[in-house]
Amino acid sequence: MTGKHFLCAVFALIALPAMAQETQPVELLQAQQRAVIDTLVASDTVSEAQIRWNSLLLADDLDGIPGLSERDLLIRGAIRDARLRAGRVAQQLRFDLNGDLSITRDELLPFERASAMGPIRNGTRMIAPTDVQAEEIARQMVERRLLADTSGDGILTLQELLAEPLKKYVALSELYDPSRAPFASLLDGDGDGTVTEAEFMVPLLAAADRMDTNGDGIISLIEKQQRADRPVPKTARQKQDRALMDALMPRRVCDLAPKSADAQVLVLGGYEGAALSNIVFGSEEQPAYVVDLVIPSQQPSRA
Amino acid sequence: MHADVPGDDKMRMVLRWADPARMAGSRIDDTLPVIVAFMRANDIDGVPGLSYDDAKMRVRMDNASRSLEPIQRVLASDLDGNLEVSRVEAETVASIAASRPLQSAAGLVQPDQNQRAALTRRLADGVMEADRDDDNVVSESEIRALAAHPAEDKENSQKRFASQEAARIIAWADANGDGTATFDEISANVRGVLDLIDSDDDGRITRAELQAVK
Repeated sequence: MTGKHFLCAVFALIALPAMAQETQPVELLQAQQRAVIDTLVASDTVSEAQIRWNSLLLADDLDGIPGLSERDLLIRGAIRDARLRAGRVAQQLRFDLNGDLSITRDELLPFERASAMGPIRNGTRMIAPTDVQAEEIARQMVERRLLADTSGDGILTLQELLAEPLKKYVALSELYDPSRAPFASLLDGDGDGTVTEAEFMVPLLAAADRMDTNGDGIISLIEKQQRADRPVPKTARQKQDRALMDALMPRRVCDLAPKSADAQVLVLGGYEGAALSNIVFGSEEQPAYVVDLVIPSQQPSRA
Repeated sequence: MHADVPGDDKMRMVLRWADPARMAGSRIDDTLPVIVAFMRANDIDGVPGLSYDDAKMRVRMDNASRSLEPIQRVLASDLDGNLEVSRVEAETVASIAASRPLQSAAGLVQPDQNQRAALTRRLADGVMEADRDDDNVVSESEIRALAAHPAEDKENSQKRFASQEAARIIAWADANGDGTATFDEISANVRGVLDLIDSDDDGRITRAELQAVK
């Protein structure tokens, strides 16, 4: 587990305790235990593990008041949003050829031509588009990029670029809405809404007691290997991660009518800018009937 | 019948695209248009044929990407999304990195409050470098100033121009020397290379024939 993932796991634990306790307590506890064990395994002594563990608290304690509170989580959410926004804007600004922080159709066209002029993969074959096809593909890709041009003037301004990713990631920001995730963490022992350094340390010290069997404060290789909390296999860990994400993501209810027993649901998707062409359902020998076609909105849907 | 013996660069470029192009089939007649289409992806100025304008445009496209890092760094500290970054915002973001344990000769140590404050300030200073009027706010106009594409020395610029695929293709495909490689000229050259690779002259490029020239 990388430092980033490690941090995310711990942060996720703290961020959504109450909601998660109601829905996925086992997964959350497992994730907490995993983060603790990873910290101990990465350390040679219990005190080193304490330093590593405590640094996670310090990294999230952003409001200047000791202890982790809802306010810290809100700031952390704002930082995460700002990073996402900055990354997204920077990605778009690679089209800004003259450095004026706005993007015109003329600036977009060379980039899209570079994609459109190349060969197209058609199933297992590759074909070269005609000039007319390539220009049309490039034009459509430009129009797609200009969807964020809310003023409709054919220019993507910096403000429009900044606004776009915020809309996209608003669902994630909801995680930090106190009304959705009341702060009563697994770690908040006295339930006062603030995780103190001592409270934060409880699960680590408990695990360290179990692992450091001879109590000398040194986590030896043998103790690491003999620990009761063996790492979970990769597939099980993936399941846990998925369960954790399910707990974190806002849930939506699918309002489509239930399908009949003999119907199949086909889900088609593509990455941004990728074209889906020549989609064939069934064959001459096996006719297929499309009963309903649901095209989700621009917003990625987990419904 | 083989065309002129192609130069190394021409061979390299055809070989680069020959493998993926074989998805179109092993016949040279099927492969050829796909390889040419890969090369045509450099034709970005809207005028048919590869010209030095295409290569220049590519250099501009590369330049646009090169100036993004400072803007991204500043915007990542714009917590309220108002296109301004105050020192408080910069230090809030910097404090996360400043909380990481430090490796010392004695082992891992938790930075004390003073160390964290100093590191936070130093990291925030990196963001606040863009604050040219020293008012402790990186304003929108100061962010805009970061977008100005960095100047490049002439020699470097020429190197980057010459390394563009469009410029390299023109160097070997522009038969009449008018500065533009038409797709007919490119096709003729690519066919020459493919004919050369097709050692048994059966009009097909096999894997073994490709391996033999690699």
